[in-house]
Amino acid sequence: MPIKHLISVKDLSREFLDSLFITAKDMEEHPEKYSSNARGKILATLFFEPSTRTRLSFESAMFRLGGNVLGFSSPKGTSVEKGESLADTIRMAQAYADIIVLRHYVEGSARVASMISEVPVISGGTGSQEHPTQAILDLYTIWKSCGKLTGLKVAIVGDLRYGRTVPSLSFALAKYPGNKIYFVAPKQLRVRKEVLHDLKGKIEYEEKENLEEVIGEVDVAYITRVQKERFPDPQEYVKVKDTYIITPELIEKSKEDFILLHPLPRVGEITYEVDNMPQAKYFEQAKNGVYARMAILDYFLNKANNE
Amino acid sequence: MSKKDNEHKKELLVTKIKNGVVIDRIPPGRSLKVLSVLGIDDEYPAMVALAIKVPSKKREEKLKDVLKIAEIELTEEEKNKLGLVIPGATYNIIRDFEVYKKEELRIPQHFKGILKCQNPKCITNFREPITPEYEVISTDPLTIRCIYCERFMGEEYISQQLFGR
Repeated sequence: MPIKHLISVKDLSREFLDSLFITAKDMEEHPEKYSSNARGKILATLFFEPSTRTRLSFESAMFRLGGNVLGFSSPKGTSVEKGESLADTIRMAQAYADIIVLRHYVEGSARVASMISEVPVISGGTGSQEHPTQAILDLYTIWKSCGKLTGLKVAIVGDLRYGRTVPSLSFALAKYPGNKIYFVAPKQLRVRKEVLHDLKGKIEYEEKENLEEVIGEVDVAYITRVQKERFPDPQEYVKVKDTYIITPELIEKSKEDFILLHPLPRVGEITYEVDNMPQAKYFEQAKNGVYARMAILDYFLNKANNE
Repeated sequence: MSKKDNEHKKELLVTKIKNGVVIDRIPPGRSLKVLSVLGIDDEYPAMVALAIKVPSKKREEKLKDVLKIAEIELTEEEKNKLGLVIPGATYNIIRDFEVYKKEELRIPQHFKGILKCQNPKCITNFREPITPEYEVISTDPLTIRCIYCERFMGEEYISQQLFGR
């Protein structure tokens, strides 16, 4: 069944994801074939929350498809500051553009936008809820590096409570058989019960507090930033922060073909010495964002209507 | 209890309605909430008979409320809301003085409105043209989920929202 919007990874089928990865790969290898796919079309990037990678990679993706972009990167100076509702903002944007990417700090915002908009809405991340296109590029990266998306052991590390990439990546891994997730986090930042509820019966998972316990076993470690602000007691933060720093010494304990991912920005949780190690895939991961997002935009602009 | 007392008791409950609904076995004290959920107040154009904390016929020590509302039949949405507020109550449709249909109100799988989402960062708590909507994840313990922000809410919160305690 064709999907009209991209709001949650839970709405996507494995077949849909596979087709995106194959398209993204072809776009990476033969970009010239796709340079007119979005000619005459406009993408509206509506970012109510700051972003570097997501916004720029969507804009790059649209330009590389031959399309154009308009939008805002913060609500400052827009009518949103005057109190305009999201619903009215979407009604306006759909009149000016053929496709919308929305990032918002309020949860459920992308779902509401998709109910109002007559043009496709793609979630660029909503609060702590989800970041579906990030999960798509994450899986694309894993697929390219590991050659498969099944039978993998993946450690998802850091702020699992507030990090929006965590639910999306987990739901995406659960679409493929034989995977196992180790959720590695301090007690205060464990995965939310709603996410565990959605994963139950779909993928094997285990909760851990220490990455050292599983580093020798996992194919992938996905690191997210543990923010000081999330700890009401600064002493608690000091106690845990070093447990989640990735160093070359830790990487040495990993198995062969292990890869290290991070949605970025990183602020000290991966030391600079790791950057040049073959396991470090996070910069390539960011670059893959362009191709994954080209495939996503192309689907919603050109393919969704034809199914 | 004397025969006269028994007759007096019966009088309260036997107000027959031609067409409408009788909601029986309402947990004692909840009928006012039912009227509020249905949006029925003193401006309602037809008869409303309300009995609060009356003894149930089968077990006198067990109290209940009874509501009779003329000229109404509940929509699915209204039944869903009442299923959350007064699960186990019975809902009778009266047509031409006869009980046309009788069913037990159950906790629904889905319902709209009647309580606020607990998540302050949920879109339904902002000034947007949407009605909160929930999915019931489990009935015992009662857990619901907001379909927008996807967070769970438990029995304590639901009770606080619906009944203030």
